[in-house]
Amino acid sequence: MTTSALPRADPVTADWRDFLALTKPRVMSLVVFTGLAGLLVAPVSIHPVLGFTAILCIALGAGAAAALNMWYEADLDALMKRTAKRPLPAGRMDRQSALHFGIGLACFSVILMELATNRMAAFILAISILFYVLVYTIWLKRRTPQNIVIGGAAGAFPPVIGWAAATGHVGLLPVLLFALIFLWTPPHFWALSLFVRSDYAAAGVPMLPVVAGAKTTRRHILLYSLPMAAVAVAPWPLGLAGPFYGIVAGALSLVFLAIAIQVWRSRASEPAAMKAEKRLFAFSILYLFGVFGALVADRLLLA
Amino acid sequence: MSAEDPKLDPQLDPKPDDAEIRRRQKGRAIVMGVLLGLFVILVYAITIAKMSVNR
Repeated sequence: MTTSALPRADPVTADWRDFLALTKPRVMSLVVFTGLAGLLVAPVSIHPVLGFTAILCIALGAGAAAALNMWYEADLDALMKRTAKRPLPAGRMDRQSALHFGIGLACFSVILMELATNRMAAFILAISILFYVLVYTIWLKRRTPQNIVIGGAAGAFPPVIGWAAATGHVGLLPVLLFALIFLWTPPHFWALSLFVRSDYAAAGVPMLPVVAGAKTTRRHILLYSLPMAAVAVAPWPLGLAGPFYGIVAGALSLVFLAIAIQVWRSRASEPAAMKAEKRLFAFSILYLFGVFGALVADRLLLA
Repeated sequence: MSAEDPKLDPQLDPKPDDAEIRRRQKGRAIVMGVLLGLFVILVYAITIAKMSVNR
């Protein structure tokens, strides 16, 4: 990590909107939704105020992890078009403010979670923040093309945290939901990295398309999509969800696999021609919302 | 606010004028005040909820 290339900014010049931008609010929506789904499908009901606080803590924890990620990767962000306008590379905030904000928000979210719900949920929240910052951001991201595979686990924690907030323990269903997001993350990010490959190459991030090429990446996308689809449908035959969920998850997984096959067969080399890759990236977001939404709807229907 | 705005981007304008700094300080103070107020309400609500759950 280098700091000399970064513009300096007076601590006082940062606007509150820059602190908000540090938390990556757009990414947070998926984290909040999957965390809420984990909480709603739990077999134990939770007081609405405590449930709201649990989801708030998951959101704040995700925001803290994002802020610490931006603090560490400010030099990298400055090299990529997609991230160059973030508060730190654009020089609108000093790095120390981002670090203090991230650590403060992380501690606040974990302590509040413990006070409002239970120690297990707070512990998993702390693990997820530490995993994202230490394992993914600092250790793996710049060292291995498998960065997104192991790092994806960090984003898979929210449904487990939501479930733990309601029940105080971890069961088979949240573990399956964790596995679903864990297996969904590589195809999702590799589809993106195929059409922004030049950005990652310029920044020296060893994403799979940069290190192993587009053909290998496309094969890996399909290879991960297959177990992902199996895990998505698994709650139904295991008796953890009803037929409504099974049918919706199965249908969405089939569409996901169909697009993944299109990506596998694609030979496009220019980003403008990568229509299947862009379609998979866009659909993957809808897919996760759809599967988790179906699970919640299924539980409500059964109730 | 965007990086293209020359008034707000220290790369293009390393010293925002005093009025701009005051505006940002005021904005941050207002947001912090609102957040602290919401936090107090949240802690109160959590306390009531915990009491009703444990009853």
